[in-house]
Amino acid sequence: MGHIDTKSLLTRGFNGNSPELLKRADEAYCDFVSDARNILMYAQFQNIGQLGAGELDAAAKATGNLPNSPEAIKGVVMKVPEIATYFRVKRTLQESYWQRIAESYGMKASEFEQALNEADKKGPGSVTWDPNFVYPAYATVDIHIQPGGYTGKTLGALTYDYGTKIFFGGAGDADSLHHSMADKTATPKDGVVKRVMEVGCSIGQMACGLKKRFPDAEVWGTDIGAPMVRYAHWRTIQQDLDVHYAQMPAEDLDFPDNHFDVVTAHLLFHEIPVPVIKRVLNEAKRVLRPGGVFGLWDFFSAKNRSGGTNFMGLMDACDNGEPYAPGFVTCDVEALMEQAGFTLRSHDPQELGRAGRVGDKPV
Amino acid sequence: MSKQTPDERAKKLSEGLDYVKELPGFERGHPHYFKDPMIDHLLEIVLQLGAEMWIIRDRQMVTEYLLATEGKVTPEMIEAFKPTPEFREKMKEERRTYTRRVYQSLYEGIGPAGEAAFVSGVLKAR
Repeated sequence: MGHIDTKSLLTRGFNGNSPELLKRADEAYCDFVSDARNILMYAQFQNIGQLGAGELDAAAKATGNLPNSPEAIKGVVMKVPEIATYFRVKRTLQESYWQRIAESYGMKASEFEQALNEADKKGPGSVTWDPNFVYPAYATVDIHIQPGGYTGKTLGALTYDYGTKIFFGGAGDADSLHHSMADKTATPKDGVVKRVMEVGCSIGQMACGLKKRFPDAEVWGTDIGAPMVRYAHWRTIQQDLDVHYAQMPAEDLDFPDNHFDVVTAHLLFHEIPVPVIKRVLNEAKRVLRPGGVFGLWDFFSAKNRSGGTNFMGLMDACDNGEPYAPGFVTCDVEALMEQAGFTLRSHDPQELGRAGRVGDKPV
Repeated sequence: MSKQTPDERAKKLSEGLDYVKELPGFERGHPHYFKDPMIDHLLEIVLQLGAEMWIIRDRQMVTEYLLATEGKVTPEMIEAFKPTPEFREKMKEERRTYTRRVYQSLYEGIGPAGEAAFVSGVLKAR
């Protein structure tokens, strides 16, 4: 097989920074799924959450015990037809789009794999990964029930790219959500930003946003998944941005002490177990220089959410490949950041969208 | 790279984490939500049929657009078609109307629907 040219590979071009699916019918299918999610899921989130929480409260009053195991919760709430319908619709739509996207790109699987192989050796930027890396079990979950998760399939990150476009219901097209987070990421109080890293960078959307915000800085994106960093590099090359990617677990980084000015994690912590969160915080503190800043973008703590939202979160954990999210929302991550040695900047726990949770490494 | 062997590193990364395999959601599973799983299957079929029907409507809209603007249409033209922002919006509106009309009975009577869009849910306390 000769050189893979992006135009011949992506006959239908790009949608923002994401490759279009390879057939019009696949795009139409995913458009339907995306809108069905918006109309049948997001629009009903509050209603179903309140309904479920109400059923659980009623069961607790009747029996004296609040159901807390997944089986017990489902046993109570799934008797309500609208709740059962909601979760059936959610699971089916989620399974549907992963399958269709993988089938669409799968028509040119060997060409995509070759494109990744070629990109491995190209710039701007760079990528390093270890073909012999052995994944710890915690990192092998089918996150969001994507078959193979973030680590198990060579083209998993390509599928993830279009899949998350559907997840965001069009709100994140052209990486707008990630770039807005990059623009709001906190900087050291002395204003010096020479080296920046996003840990758990997945497909590099935020790392690219950070490079655009700090064009003179050395920007790194690390992720435990080789498929993620390889595809992130390919995707970043298409944008002609100079970002370095490396396959590294966020809790075991191959960087020296005091190396970075800014380290950030965007939607990583709810995808890892609490013991790993603690290790990641220690590692972030180690690689940050004194005065460096750690920025955490992630879910609200359970204590700041309604009972309905917590019920929906528990269901998401069980049936949408989010086994670690309940641990994250109940772990008091602010306290863990302080235990790791960060000085927390004040923030409104109801307004995490402004700057996330921010910790300074003491000078 | 790390001086440990890949197996040694994986073992170290896994320390204290045996419990995760027991967490709900660690295995993807094949859940059903109704007492009679056939209702789950029927809803799955209804959603798949809705998607397949939309694919045909989408193709019909693109075909009519190309005929009106280009005077001809081929399969290659349909595959290469990039809608104008106005036409993309028109298709989106048509699709949303279609989806609401077909599935409106699913949640009848449980309260007014909220915002039919992702609203950065993970960053918004609700």
